[in-house]
Amino acid sequence: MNRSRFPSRTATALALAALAAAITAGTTLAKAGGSSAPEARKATTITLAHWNSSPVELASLRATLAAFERTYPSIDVKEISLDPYPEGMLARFAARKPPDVFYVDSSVFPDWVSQGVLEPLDGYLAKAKVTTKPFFPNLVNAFKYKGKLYGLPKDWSPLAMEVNTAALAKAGVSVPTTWAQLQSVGSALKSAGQPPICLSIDLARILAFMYQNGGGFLNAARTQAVVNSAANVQAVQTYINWLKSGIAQTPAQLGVGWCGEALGKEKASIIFEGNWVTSYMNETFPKVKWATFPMVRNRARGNLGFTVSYSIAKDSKHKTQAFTLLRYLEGPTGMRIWTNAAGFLPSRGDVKPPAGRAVFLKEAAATHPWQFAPGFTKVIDTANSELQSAYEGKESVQTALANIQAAAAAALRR
Amino acid sequence: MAVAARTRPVGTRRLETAANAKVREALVGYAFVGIPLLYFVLFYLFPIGYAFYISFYDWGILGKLGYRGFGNYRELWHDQLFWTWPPKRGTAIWNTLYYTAIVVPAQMALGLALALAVNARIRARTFFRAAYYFPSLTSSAAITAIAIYILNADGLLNWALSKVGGHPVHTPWFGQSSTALESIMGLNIWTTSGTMMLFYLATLQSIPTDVYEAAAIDGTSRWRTFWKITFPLLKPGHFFVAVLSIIGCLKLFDQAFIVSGGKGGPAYSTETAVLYLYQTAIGDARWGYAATVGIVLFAIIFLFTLVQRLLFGKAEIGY
Repeated sequence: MNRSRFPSRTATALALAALAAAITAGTTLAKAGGSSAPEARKATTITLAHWNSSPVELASLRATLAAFERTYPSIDVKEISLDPYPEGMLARFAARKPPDVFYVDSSVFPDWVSQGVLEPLDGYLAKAKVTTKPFFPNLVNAFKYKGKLYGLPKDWSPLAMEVNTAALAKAGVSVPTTWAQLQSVGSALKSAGQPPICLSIDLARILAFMYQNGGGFLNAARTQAVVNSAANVQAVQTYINWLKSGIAQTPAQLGVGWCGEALGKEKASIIFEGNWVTSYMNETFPKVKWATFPMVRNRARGNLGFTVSYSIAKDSKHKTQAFTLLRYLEGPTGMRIWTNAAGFLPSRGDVKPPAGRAVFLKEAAATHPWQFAPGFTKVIDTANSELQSAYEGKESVQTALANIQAAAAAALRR
Repeated sequence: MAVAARTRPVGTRRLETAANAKVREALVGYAFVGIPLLYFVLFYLFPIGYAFYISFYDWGILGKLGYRGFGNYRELWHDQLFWTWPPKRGTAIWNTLYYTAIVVPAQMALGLALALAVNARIRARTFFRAAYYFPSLTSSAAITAIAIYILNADGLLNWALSKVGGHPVHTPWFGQSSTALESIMGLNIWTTSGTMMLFYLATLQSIPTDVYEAAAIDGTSRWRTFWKITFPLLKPGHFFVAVLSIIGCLKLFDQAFIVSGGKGGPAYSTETAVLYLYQTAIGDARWGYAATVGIVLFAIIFLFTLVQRLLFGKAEIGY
């Protein structure tokens, strides 16, 4: 055979293998290193990671960052939107290549801070002579751990009662303020053939009602679970009875994803949602006549505060620049630009909220932060499943709360 | 100097060539297999081994947090969300086994029925084969997203049922614990039966026709032909389809995740073993414990496959 004319089969196979390996290596390197072009100026680039729930929110964040870059030309901010957010952040933490500044939801804060991925801010604040006094204390405390501060709240929202005013007018009732009034308004709506109240089987809503009845979830020091109290049983039983009697329905029964959608599609007359519903309704269902009213009360006022902080990563390589960005975003100028553009509530008392949201701010005094202890993600899921079982009649409310108490106690022991 | 003589006699040269050629053949084989094998070792064998390793540790976001020995396994033994004794709906393992017990026979039956249907001499056979197989090609995430709309309380299915039944039907199929997992079962039986149909079709067409001719001569009815002749001869098909089906069902994740938003559905009805693993790994960031769940699941699937192999033997046709 004429071996000299064509390359041998071994050589061909090895060449193909080498080519394949080279292509794989090249594309991996290109993805990892090629995206950040070398900086012509001497500016430092830091990354900010966030999630994104609407185009308006993204545009507002970009506007705020652009204003920051104009004030501090030596710092460039690269913002990355992660979806899904917790998974993306966990991967970056594990790889020890986290973004410099990022969102931390108050409910995952205990997990992240106890695992040591956040940088304490007290030293930086003291050196820059920045005080946390203008912030609402409830919100700042949500980001403290073992006496140190690990983030500053960027905005927040409590729950409130959103009402379809036309439907209530047709039923001839005024807006309720207590549980008893809510019950009678619900019955009136049902008799008048108007859409019902929308209530979700979700701890993030039912807990507000538990607080309104004098109950709670954890004690103040977050060392003990107090789910199993008589006040809680009564609150949950009342909530479920509203659903069973037909004056309220769940989003699943109404054929919608959440109660905000029910309000927009006029399948519900009264819902309990936060400030996020304002922009949602204005953008998606502008023709519906609705208004926001204070949360109902029973023995006491009770509400939940959902807040997110800006925090700095422990493994960040540009902590000074990251703190400059954080200080700007949390300062009066940055927060004003952000909240006005996105329609969120400022977490500082010295920044005026955007128009039409004063009702939410008045809820601040009765707000308990939506936050528990490390390892509570599963407890929340257990709570939601137990509440669903109780609602479906598969077990009594007492059993459901007892099971939640057991799960919470087990998580606290770990 | 005279003409340079051949340094080796002809005979030895031929022998050397033969030995070299064999080695070269072997090298070529290894070179071709090398890259896929490397991929297999790196992305399959190594993660399994590493998962086994970290299942003995408390492994958090930033790495090792402490050696636990068999502590993770002991915790899993007592984990009420993972399994209970006696069996209870709403735990990860029993949900998965209940799902498997219903879906596997249904998938096999439907796949076999479709295979028999498209094997018969009807017009547009090829079209039906493609049509029945099509759902298996589509992304399960896309199908589930659309199914959420169709199975909505105000969705298409309830509308059709109202028309048929005469009274309004408003069941939120994915929204209540008594129907959520069953709806996923229905969805998956329909989607995967196409793949099973193909396997059965291959086995069906390998049965020689003279068996059927002999049966026709003997005057057997259609049903007896099927039950006494076709069905037993499909044994290799049954075994293959059963193994694949069981393994696939025990690994159910994407439909359960999309339907429940990753939470395990209304009252833990759609909590499957792999979803539980995902929640432990991502929700709790406890990767050591999640690795334990993975290893236990691997052991269960391996046990099932082993039992099947021992009970039903090799896939061989014997007439």
